[in-house]
Amino acid sequence: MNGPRWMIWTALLAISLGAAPPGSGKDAVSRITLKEVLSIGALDDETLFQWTGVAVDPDGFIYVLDAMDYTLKKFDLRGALVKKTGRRGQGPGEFMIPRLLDASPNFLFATDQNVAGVYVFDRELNFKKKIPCPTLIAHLKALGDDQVAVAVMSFQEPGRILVLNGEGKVLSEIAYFDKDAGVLMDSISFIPDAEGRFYLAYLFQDRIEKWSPDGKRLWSRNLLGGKKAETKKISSFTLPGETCFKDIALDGRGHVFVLGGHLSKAPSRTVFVLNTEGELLTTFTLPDTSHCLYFDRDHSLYARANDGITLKKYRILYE
Amino acid sequence: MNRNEEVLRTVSASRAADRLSRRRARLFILVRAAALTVVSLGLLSRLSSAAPPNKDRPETAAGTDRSCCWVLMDIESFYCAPCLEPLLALCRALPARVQEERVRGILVYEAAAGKERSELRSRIVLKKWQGFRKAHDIRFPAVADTGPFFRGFLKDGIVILLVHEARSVLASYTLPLKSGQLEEIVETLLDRAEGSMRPKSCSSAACRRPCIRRPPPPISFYAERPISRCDIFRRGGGADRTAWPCADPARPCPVPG
Repeated sequence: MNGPRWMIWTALLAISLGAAPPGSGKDAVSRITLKEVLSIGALDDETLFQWTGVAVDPDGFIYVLDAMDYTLKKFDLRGALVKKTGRRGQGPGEFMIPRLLDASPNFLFATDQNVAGVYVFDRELNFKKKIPCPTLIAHLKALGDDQVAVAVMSFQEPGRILVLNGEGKVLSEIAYFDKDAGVLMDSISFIPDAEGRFYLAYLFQDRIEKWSPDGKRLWSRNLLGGKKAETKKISSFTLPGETCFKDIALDGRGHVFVLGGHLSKAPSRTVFVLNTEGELLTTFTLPDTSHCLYFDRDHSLYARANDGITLKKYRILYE
Repeated sequence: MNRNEEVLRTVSASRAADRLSRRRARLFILVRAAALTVVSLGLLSRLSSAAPPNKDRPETAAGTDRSCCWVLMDIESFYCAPCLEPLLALCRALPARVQEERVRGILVYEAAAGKERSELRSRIVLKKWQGFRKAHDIRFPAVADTGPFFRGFLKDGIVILLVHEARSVLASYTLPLKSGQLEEIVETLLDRAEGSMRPKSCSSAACRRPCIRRPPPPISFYAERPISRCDIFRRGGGADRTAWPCADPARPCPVPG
């Protein structure tokens, strides 16, 4: 009789102290600091000119898309250039505006801004194929060697997240935006977790959301006090002129990292750290402005510096 | 001295002080204007030195019968395909020597607060240009500038100024170009060059000159396509031009002539 009571009291105490199962993201992180461990590209070398996308393979090799010289570059663990491929064009392995990049265990997935499809390369940077996509791609994440998730947008219908197989067949779909709130207002960055749930950061709205794999919104949060992005009129379109958020990433320890945009305290530098329930744990500031956040398997954070000429790798120190 | 005289003296003294401060202000404005003029002239001479006299060509007495081309660019406009394609077409159409001697790029950028940050920004812009120039084998060099002179011309995207050697602007073109404007710019630059600069014939298989006879992409390529979200952000494109192999205007002409 005493045994179960003791267990109940212990459980209640644990709940009241905020303990939670590992991976739920409810650990008490109060402060985050960054320690720079690697820097690729400098003002006086010819390594990077304007990197746009970054990905890291399971062996730690770093891949970067460079929009200024239209290449995909591979760096070793120390940041030395191993190989590069690509040039301007529309043929296999060529880019017009290289933009998004992600890696699965054996392949790299890249997008060209104005191409409705995903280019697949192997880890030696050999072009393998193009996965067709119904429309232009706003965001991309690899789910495996033969599966990618893409955010697609068009004028005709609101934004959706599609899970595609290697042939471009739509395996599942999340219609995260159900009403017409204006052009581009459905623009998102997203990150899937290991269970297939999606975390969304709206680029032009103060909204962070979590969605289940079957397309149900689990929660929605504001981080900027409901601030609204200013709009401006271009031709006949009313368009947002400022970003609320720029990117979203998961550190593998149950923390959601959201990079603030123009409306955050330090534009393009403030990072909001949430748990998996969307509660704000802390914020920190990147040393330089960035357009994206990327975590590798070792939980190291990659971000931009020098306006895209430098890629920085940081170790995160949790307190 | 009565009270009125005292007041009058005070007033006249204060008027004199006002006059003095106005003179000082005028002097300051004059000095500033002179300094700005010196800086502008320095920049102009730096740019015109961009087009040094050709030693192979007999100069006229005045030495002012040549025109050169200033390409005003915002780095962001490199993501705008409709702006970029005509610039690349111009580079393909001009022989390397003409580009080196007659064309100069001016990378117009927003100055950052503080001298150090502004210098850093300038180095970043030039570094990006370095990568872009290498990727496209562009031969003309460029300088970075934040001043209002060029910003006045560059409202959007890329602007090409045809400038006479005597420093007068002959024509200004905002990219994307209208029909015939590319040919106009090329012809102006080539017509003023000596005969050897102009590609006469590409019939020889040994011809290594850029293929001037290849027509530029039709204007519809730049303008008459459906508008897309990307256009709105000046990122260009729109249509999914993914047919492989494609006639990419960025590629060098595979067959001479």
